[in-house]
Amino acid sequence: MKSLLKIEWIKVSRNRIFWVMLAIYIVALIMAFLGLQAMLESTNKSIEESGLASVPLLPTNIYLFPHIWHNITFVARFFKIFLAVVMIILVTNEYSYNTLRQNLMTGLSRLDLIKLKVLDVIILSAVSTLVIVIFGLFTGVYYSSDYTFWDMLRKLNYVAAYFLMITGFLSFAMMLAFLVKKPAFTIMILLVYSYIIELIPAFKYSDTFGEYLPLRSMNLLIEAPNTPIFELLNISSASSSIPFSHIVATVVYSIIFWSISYLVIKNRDL
Amino acid sequence: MEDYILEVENLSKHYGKLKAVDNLSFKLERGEVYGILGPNGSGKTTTLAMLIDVVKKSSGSFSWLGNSAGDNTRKRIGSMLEKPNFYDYLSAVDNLKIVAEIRGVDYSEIDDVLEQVGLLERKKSRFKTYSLGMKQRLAIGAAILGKPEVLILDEPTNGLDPEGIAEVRNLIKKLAADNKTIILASHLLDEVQKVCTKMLVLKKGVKIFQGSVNGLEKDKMIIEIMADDMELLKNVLSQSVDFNNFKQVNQIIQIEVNSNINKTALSTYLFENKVMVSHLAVKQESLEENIFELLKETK
Repeated sequence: MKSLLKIEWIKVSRNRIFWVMLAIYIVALIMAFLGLQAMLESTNKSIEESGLASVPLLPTNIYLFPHIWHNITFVARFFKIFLAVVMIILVTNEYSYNTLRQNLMTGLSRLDLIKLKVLDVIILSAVSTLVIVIFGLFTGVYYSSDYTFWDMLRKLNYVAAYFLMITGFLSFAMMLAFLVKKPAFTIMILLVYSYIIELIPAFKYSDTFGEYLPLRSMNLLIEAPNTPIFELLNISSASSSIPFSHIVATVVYSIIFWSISYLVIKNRDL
Repeated sequence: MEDYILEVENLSKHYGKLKAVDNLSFKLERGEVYGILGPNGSGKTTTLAMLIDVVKKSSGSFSWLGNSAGDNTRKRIGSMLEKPNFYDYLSAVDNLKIVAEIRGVDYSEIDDVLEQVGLLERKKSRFKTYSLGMKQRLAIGAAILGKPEVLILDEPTNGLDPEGIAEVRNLIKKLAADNKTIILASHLLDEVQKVCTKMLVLKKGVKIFQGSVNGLEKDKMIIEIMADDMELLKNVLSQSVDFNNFKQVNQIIQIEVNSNINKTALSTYLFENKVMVSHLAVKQESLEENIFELLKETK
């Protein structure tokens, strides 16, 4: 395992495109966190100026412990597609350089080839989670005034759920990339599947299996925080807990995606 | 008992109706330099790719050193197939570090290998800045890193300039002298002839010849002969032991002989039997012509 990590590190550490893409993702994420605060404040300002007393003011205390963890992981949920693009590039690179073949020839097993990419999935998920933890700690400490140590940690389960969600989603992207081979085509399929194809049955059959479709299931790990802003935006699925069934579903799906990737590589001429 | 490094039995690869490799069997002894010769598209690369499990075989079996092609077996086989495949944004050293990591070889061997393939000075340059010849040499470097017992080299001199070709051939000879077993695929007969001891000729996925390179070269030698009295010549030849395998083509008698018979023996024999020879020429069939013959015969 240590040498697999080293191999992946040699590859990734000198891959400039990877670092640029990762940096864009992280900057976009942080800007979205900060922008949200500004957006809420400016909306409140116009509500106040309009003088309509019946419209509730939006909460601007989104960075307070312990709710900050739920708030920022929910926002970050919408940015995971960018990280998936990074993941897709890491897999399709191996096809375009023909290095799956080279590494197999050199002595890796087909299972090793999959393990390397699962390592990427886990490391990218960890990086994304770490960004959130660091941002959450700094802004939480900056904005919160009256909190206990327990408040800081109380909703960290959302961070754990976030890690799981990203792992599941990146595993899905990895499997697509192994199947499709071509980066642009894979990204296209991922976009169409996640924003169109899966959404239709997910909502149509939301009472039965709809909520357990792969991507829907992952997304439901972190539903909208139960705050007035989402009520106003008519998001009804707000919650304040992480459904256990979706934890199980995400883990199972991830394992299925890894297995399918392995079966693809196991039976394919490289 | 003979020490076989590789035993291949009825190996086949079918792509739909196309038989890329068809029922191929051969054995490989330790320390041999084995040439796989054949025109483009004859199944050389497919065969080698199956032997290292890069391409899935359709049927048949093979075993390396008595084992199946397990992952640990592959680590003892250094191979390069077709075009060199490396991460183009990584330097030669970094690409070889990945190879070293996979094989469990110490990084200190990398410089030695780069020296051997003549890339030491450019070791920090990124792969994509390399010329085709340099890429090819890096692929050979990757194959020999970790001193594997068996080397599989597929068209190793492809894209090299004459100097590079000579260097690579010398390198192969040096490795062969080191008692490495080498399988070399090539469409260049000259290359197989210069480097290999044994060879296998493939055509459209079918084995059409197998044996020692020398054997094929020396087995056939044709002596052309004309005499003033052709009838006497034929008569004398048919009584001899060594030269009775002749045929008449127009006014010339062609005798097929083993190459270890020299033409002095023939002229002495004819002279002793009072045949006045007006023309005598040795037409040594080159390996090239022999192979050409073989490829034609199986059409």
